Amino acid sequence: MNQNEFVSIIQPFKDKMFRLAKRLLVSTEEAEDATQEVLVKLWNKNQELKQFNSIEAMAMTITKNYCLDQLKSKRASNLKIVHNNYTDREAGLQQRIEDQDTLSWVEKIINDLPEQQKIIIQMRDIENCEFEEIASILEMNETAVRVALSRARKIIREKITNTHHYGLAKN
Amino acid sequence: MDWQKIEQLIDKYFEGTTSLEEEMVLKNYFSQENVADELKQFQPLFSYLQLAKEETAPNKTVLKSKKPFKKWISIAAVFILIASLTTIWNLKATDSQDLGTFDDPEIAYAETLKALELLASNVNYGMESVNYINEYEYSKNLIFKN
Repeated sequence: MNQNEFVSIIQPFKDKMFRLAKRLLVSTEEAEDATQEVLVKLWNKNQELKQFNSIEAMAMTITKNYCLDQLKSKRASNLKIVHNNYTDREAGLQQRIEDQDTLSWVEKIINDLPEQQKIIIQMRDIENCEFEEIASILEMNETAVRVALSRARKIIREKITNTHHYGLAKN
Repeated sequence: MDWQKIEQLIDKYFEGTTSLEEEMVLKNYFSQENVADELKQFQPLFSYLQLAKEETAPNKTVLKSKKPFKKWISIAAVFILIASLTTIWNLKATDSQDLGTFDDPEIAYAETLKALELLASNVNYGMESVNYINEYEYSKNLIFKN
């Protein structure tokens, strides 16, 4: 497989990898680096790639594992990633998010979830994946994925309704 | 679509039992203008979920096209270089050091004599040639008559 073939294979899900990485790592730069790293890993596997029935599922699994490792090593060295991406968000997207300030606290609520729930919300509600796919990426069974998804959605609902009723976000 | 039906879907959604199609229905409902007041609170959530999918990776993916075998070639090259250098060095070292030895002192003495005689005869042979220098001295004296 040459470089062009490889790029055309990864193109359809490259953004999906990036969004998952960003959901977990929060910072755009870190997500970019992570995506890059995972792509290099995939490229080095070059010859074996054709054996896998879904390169996309594998890419997502590697991305997930890589990001979780990153988070683990950051935590081990007592560095907490607190990143708000004040300036580097895509201009259009940032504009629209600022237009509706409420959207940014929805983002915050999702980012405050535990990692596993974050991944599930990202895969299901944003990327619209089937439970089967999510289950294989997370190495869990489908029922467990459903339960965790429902739990995550309820946490989000609770925070949203609280904010809605009080008229302001508490944090 | 009437909002009671949407509300039912929302309940299903939070139980985690909606299908992808039903979730699509919800997202479409919340992306249009007239959302029922009772459901307005969920609008930001569904708008965010749709919006978040639009974010794309910054387009700078540059693949380092490193093929693993190239690394091995360089490692092998360095290895061969070191190996050949050491063998050459070892060969040279053994050439100059291994002169042989004699066990019997008399033979050793005889051999030493032989070697010294060889040396002496060569030195004498050299001296013979040096004697010609005297010829220059002689002719110089003839010419300058001092």
